[in-house]
Amino acid sequence: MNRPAAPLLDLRALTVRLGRSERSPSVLDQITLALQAGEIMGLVGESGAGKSMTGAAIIDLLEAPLTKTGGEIWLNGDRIDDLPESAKRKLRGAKIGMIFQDPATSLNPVLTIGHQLTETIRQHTDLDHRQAHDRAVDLLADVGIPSPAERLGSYPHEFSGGMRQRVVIALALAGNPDLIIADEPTTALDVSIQAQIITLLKDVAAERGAGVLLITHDLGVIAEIADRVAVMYAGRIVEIAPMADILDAPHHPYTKALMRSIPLVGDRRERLPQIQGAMPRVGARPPGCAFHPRCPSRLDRCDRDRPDLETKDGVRVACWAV
Amino acid sequence: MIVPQTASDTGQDQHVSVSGLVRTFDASQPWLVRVIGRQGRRIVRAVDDLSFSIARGKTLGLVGESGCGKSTVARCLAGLLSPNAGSIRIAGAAASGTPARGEIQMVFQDPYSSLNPRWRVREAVGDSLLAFGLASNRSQMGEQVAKLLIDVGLAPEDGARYPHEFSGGQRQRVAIARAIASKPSILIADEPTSALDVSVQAQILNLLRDLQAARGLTCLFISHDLGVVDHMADTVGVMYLGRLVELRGKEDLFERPLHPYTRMLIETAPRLRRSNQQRSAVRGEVPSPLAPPPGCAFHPRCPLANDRCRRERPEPIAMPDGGTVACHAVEEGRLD
Repeated sequence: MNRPAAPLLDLRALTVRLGRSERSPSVLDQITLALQAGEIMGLVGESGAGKSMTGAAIIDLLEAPLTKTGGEIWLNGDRIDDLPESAKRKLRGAKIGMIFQDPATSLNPVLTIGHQLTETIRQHTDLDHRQAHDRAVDLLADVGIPSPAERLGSYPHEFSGGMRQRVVIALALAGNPDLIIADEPTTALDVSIQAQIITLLKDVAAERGAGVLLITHDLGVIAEIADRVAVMYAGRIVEIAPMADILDAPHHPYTKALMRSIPLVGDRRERLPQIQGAMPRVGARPPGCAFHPRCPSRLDRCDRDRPDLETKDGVRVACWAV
Repeated sequence: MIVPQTASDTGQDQHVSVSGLVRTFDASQPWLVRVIGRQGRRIVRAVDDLSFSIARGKTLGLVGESGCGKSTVARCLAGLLSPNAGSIRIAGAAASGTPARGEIQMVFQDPYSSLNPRWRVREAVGDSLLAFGLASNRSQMGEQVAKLLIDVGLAPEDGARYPHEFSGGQRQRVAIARAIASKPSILIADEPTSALDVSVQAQILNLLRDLQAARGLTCLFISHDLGVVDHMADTVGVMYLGRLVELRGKEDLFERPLHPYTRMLIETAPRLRRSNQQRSAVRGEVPSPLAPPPGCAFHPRCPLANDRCRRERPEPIAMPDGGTVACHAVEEGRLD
């Protein structure tokens, strides 16, 4: 693959705190990752790990008291986190498309989806109404909605959950974005529909060369489509590795324990290996490595020194034991 | 009516026997709207002629997509809904079919909404002891609550805390302590780990299995996650639009699924393996339960459907392995 000079998305030590002060508890702690065009990166972790917060920080939809207190966000070689609000608003939709978990809340229930699609298209392009309408039909066809021209006149409630999520994906694609942030896009859907949406996301990324940051707690979904995976724990990235490494040979003790604790069809284990305890909450994170109280391979220094991401065999891991 | 014989039926002590269970819901518009719009009543058959049994100390897993009627089955069994037709027999219960109070308990999906936020854990768990006459005074109650909390992996001191002080997994432990307080012989778990993180899910699944072994519980375990059901169940039933399409021992079902819907579910379930082969495209979505297709409800999505499937509803037929499958293609040997 021919890599462009600058990555599509480049997060550099992104830090978000619960308040403006440097002493406020951190929610995201020095998140550093790079996403290439055409790449699907999975961002996994348990609830409260900071996955969705990372997505919200990229598009600057943090609500007070959450504040970005450090780090830089670069898109296509341009720094975007210090832009004025009006410029950021232009980025959302045009450069960055967003797909959220619940399709019902991403759509306006009292407007037809044709209205919502054409409005979004015209917002981000200079097409006239007629052209925007044609493009809306094309988009609906692209996301696999049967008889798209007729369905433009339908309201969100007239679609099933899976079809509604397709409409949301069409909306996210309306501005032809370079980056798609999909936050738990299949969590509200049934398994058979989930498979359809996963395939659709994969095709969309491949055809348009868009980068996808796929945020989910479901490792099964990630295993299907992600090229690389970033694993988050307590506001930090603990491991970034190609999907195959995460599946076959994870490095970080947390990733290892997580993968082992999932029951799979056909495994005949009597007991599941479990990770004792629960992830510490924001503000109650232990010093050193946040995972050390639950870690089976803990060393002496783990409760004092915080490990940073180090590259080892092409994999980035933050762990003293590795 | 055909009462299917399950794998565990032969010679074993059947603890729960459900036969011909039907539960409908009225989804009609208000009468004025019906009169003006010249519409009839709209009745959803959430559970349609369901029969199964669970042997003592065993677990039946129910899988299916949302709206297939899994939770309605659970609620009928728990006595939270009364069936429109059919019988639910609990071994040892009176002929009326009404089991002793506290004999059947249930654990729900969301530990945030199944506990009263204003009650301390001690009260939430102890209430059930007092209600079933298992503790006659406060000090007895306190002792028993402490034992129950230890049984579910919490500390006796946790009794003084409120639900909001616990994480989701701990809250589910409280809900389980509350469920086992009345010493039930049957435990129904409706998606007990769906709201939990994977590392916590493993803790709760292990806890449920330990409690089942220690107390000889008979379980009905409902989940949409096939891996979880495979881990927990002995027998697995697959539901589609209110009907049981396949009911077999779990090894048989997961290794040699017969019904085309079961095959589709297993094939599309996300797995932690990199598959280079293209996923077989899943066709369509579950039809509305308000207007289920005639014949076999799965026929519009089934690659093996023929004219008979479109006309005639398949009934469960017994398989040599002791399971049942409701499918014309299986009966006619049209499966590959």
